[in-house]
Amino acid sequence: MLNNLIIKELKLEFRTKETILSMFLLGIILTFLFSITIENVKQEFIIVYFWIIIFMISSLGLYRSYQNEKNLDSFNMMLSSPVDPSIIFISKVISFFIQILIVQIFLFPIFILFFKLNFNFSYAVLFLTLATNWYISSLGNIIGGITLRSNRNEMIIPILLFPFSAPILLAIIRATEGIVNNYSFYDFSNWIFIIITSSIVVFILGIWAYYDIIKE
Amino acid sequence: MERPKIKTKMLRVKNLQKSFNFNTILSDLNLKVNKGEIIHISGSNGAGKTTLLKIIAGILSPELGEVSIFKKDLLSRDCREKKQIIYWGHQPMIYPHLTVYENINFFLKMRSQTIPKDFDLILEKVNMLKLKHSQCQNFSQGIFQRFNLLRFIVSDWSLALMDEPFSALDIEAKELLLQNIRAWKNKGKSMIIVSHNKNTLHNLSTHKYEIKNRGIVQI
Repeated sequence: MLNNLIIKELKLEFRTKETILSMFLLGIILTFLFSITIENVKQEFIIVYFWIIIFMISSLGLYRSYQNEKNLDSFNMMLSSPVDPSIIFISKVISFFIQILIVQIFLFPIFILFFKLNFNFSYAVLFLTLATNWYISSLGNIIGGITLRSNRNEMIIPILLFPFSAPILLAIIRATEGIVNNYSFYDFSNWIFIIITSSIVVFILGIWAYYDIIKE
Repeated sequence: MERPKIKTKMLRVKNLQKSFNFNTILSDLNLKVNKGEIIHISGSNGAGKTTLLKIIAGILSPELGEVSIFKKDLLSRDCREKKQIIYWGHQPMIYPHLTVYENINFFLKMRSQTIPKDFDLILEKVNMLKLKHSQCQNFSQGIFQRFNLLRFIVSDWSLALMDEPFSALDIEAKELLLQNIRAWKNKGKSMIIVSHNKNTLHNLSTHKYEIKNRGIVQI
């Protein structure tokens, strides 16, 4: 069942490219605007702007994803099916995680170019990115579910997403600072654990509460 | 002497209550549906007909009350018995960027069912064969209603919830739907049909109800 739901989500996205394309274009615009307005910022802090952009474009992507479900009442078809809503949540988290990752793969080289970053690939950064993406996708789908019945979800998603993302942004700054400056792992491990723990907690919360969140 | 028929109990709705924005739509509503019965529900606009069907279908949650099918609680989180129920709503409940085939395939997979071998024949019957591989985004309301009919024909169910199924259908499709309703009735399937058109269902319905003053009364 999970396979079918993920395939459906990705098939819809790759057929229309609505979410990925709009996220990518907004990402380029924001990267350009940040790059021309921000000067003399330390390398490790520049990465924060990348994550601010990712959080901003994610709210757009989540809005589009849930709008597609609302269009012809297709979400109600899933609700009336004998499927546990937590399976629907997991499928949405996985498919949105893949979509953010695709956007990041194309957006990050542009970001490096605009900000003239000296970026050296490290597995720690990759791991940090994947954990943060999972957090965004889990939290975003909980918020998407909450706003599903609202006519103002384009407004409510970013308003709810950003405050809950602030502690994670702080953790990313500290962890990236440690990784970029080659600090000992123990100096910044707390921040990485905060990101991992938050991702797991939010994901489990979503599995547990999605049924109650989406019911009207 | 003819033995009295034993009625197999199917659906039971008990003391149902539902409100929207502190406005109570349904209150203390009770309904029983037995196997093979066709229930025709009427009522004025906003009386709560669609709300009742959506609660039974698992789309809306009531504040109070019980809904069970074959004595299994339909309001529970992971009710497998939901596959016994099929819902025909005002909206087609499809993905506009998937084709007719893909939408039906996905719908059936969600119910752990597969596309029947004679699918093309069924498509031809509902006059949708040409649309098999067309995306559903530009379909008219009439085609959406035909799509609903297609869903009902290809899937396996025991209780159908139909909300204004005759609206936007042309004469040919309406006749096809009536033929199918008769066939489903003969197979012992149950249906709850919400319709303002009393004449169309005159000879088909076994019981008639009206939603009035937040409750349901037999007429």
